[in-house]
Amino acid sequence: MGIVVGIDLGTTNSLIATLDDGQPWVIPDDEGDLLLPSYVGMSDSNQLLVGQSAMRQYAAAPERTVKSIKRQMGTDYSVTLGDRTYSPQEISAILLKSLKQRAESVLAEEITQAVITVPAYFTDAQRQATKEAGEIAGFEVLQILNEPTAAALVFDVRAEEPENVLVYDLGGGTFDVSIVEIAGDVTEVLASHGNNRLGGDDFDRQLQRHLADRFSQAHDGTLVPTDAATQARLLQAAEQAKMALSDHAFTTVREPFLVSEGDAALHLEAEIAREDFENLIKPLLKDTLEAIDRALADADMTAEDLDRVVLVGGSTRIPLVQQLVESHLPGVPVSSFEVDLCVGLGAALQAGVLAGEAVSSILVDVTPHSLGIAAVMDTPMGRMPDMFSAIIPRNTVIPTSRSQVYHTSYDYQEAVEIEVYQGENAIARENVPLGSFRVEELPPKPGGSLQIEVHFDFDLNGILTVTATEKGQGKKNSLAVNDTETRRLSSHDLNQARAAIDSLFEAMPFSLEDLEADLAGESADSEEE
Amino acid sequence: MRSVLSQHEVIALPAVGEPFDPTQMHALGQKIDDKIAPNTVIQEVVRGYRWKDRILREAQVIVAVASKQEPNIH
Repeated sequence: MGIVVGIDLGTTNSLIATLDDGQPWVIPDDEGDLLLPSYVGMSDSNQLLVGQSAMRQYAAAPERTVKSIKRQMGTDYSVTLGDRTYSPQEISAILLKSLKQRAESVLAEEITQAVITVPAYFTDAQRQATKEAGEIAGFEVLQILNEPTAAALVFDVRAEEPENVLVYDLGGGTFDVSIVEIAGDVTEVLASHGNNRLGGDDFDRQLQRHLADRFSQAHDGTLVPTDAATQARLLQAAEQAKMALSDHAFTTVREPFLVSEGDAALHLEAEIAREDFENLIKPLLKDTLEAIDRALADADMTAEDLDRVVLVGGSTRIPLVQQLVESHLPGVPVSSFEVDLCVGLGAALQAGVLAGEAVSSILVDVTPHSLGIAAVMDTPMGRMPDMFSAIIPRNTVIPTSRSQVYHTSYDYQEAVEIEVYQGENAIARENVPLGSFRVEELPPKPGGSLQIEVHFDFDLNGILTVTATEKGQGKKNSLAVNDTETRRLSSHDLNQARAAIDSLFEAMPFSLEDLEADLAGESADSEEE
Repeated sequence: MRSVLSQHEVIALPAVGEPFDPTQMHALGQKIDDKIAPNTVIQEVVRGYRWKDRILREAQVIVAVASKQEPNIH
């Protein structure tokens, strides 16, 4: 039996994945890159450029470089490169062929059978065009698969109970939300909504404008020149800052010699708080929440009908995106795994299913307990000390790093004590203590005005490093904890374990000893501790 | 610093005056310039480096482009 592949043919990036022992993996190019930028071009000397090199050329030669061809699929658009014109199918076929060659060179075998993904909202004409692109590239297209279905398959390839999964896909340039019903081998997209002109690129541009404003404020109103080179530097700085702010509460943007005024060089140096960035993008994200409501209404569902939310696309790394989706759909577990690769991995799984291979959903390492610190928090009973403030919620896929900002609680506070706990109880000391440390010699400031950033870094070996940094003078201290637990569970196992425990509780009266005996040897995590 | 780099065989990529090469340069934009051959690098915004055959970082450049030409009639 030949090797089958799954292909995510994206607007901005594409990738090819295959299976090894029933588990999907993405095939890299010779440089080790997993993603192929979805660009095709012709060089000055009429050489075909695909991917990275075409993308690099785009700004120099837009007239002989094609990007985002996916937006033209199914139309009679044509593009001229060199001495001939190409249909959207043909441009897509060039991308697909390049992925095919990459796979054949790594696997040293000819590859013909593929599953290719398309957005759920694609029309028949767009699907047909995608299939033709595959055939032009030399593939036998086993299936044109919906992207949200592919993503959902990564978590539940063969759910025994029917499941309703909401897939929230926020990429570089497109957004869509779909509700997928999975029942055994049959999957169906019940509803899909979105905006194919919204994504991470918009967030970069918002932040780019913000950086330009900050530059002007710092330099007596001097405007950032609008030439391509300066603007490109600013945009790159914005994109890097955006990525840093997914892991850190603050980041510093430094662009030396951004502007030269006569003899004087002006530098951009600005500290951006995650909150500044969140305020810039919040209005754009509100629209995505409305799309969730419309999709639910179309599927005639409410949040309670959902079994799971899957986050897909690079922009879902932004903590605010996760928070907004979580709080918009309270009580629904939110999962994500390799948000850039998930659709392609799911396509490979589906290709395996169609070829009759034994496949299994991805196993991921998750944090079995929430990890956080003791803090004074506002509660319905007023401000309460020693409450548990979770920084890494339970079931977060690891490795992960998250941070949160806290404030001093009284005037002239000289030190803060960071007490680290794991557990789910709202009262900190009801959870398992993991250790504590202090940050001392804080500068004297009124209560609440001094910011302390607490950063949790949880690596694959289960080592948790907690760092607390006082924002004013940068005083910091940290703690490493080695004995935190991790576990490997597929979402399916997780549900089974939950169901098993639920049924124990529903069954006849039992003593606590019975429960413990029943649970002994199970990796399942009960909250009765 | 450059000598330390060259001791380790890290070499700065030539950019300004060279024809644009998409395998080792990343274009940030175009600038109209009729005195220079089109597709020639006229500004290096970020220097690129190579180590042996491997591009460590591509050069980020601005490329010359001719102003919109009317067909010449002699």
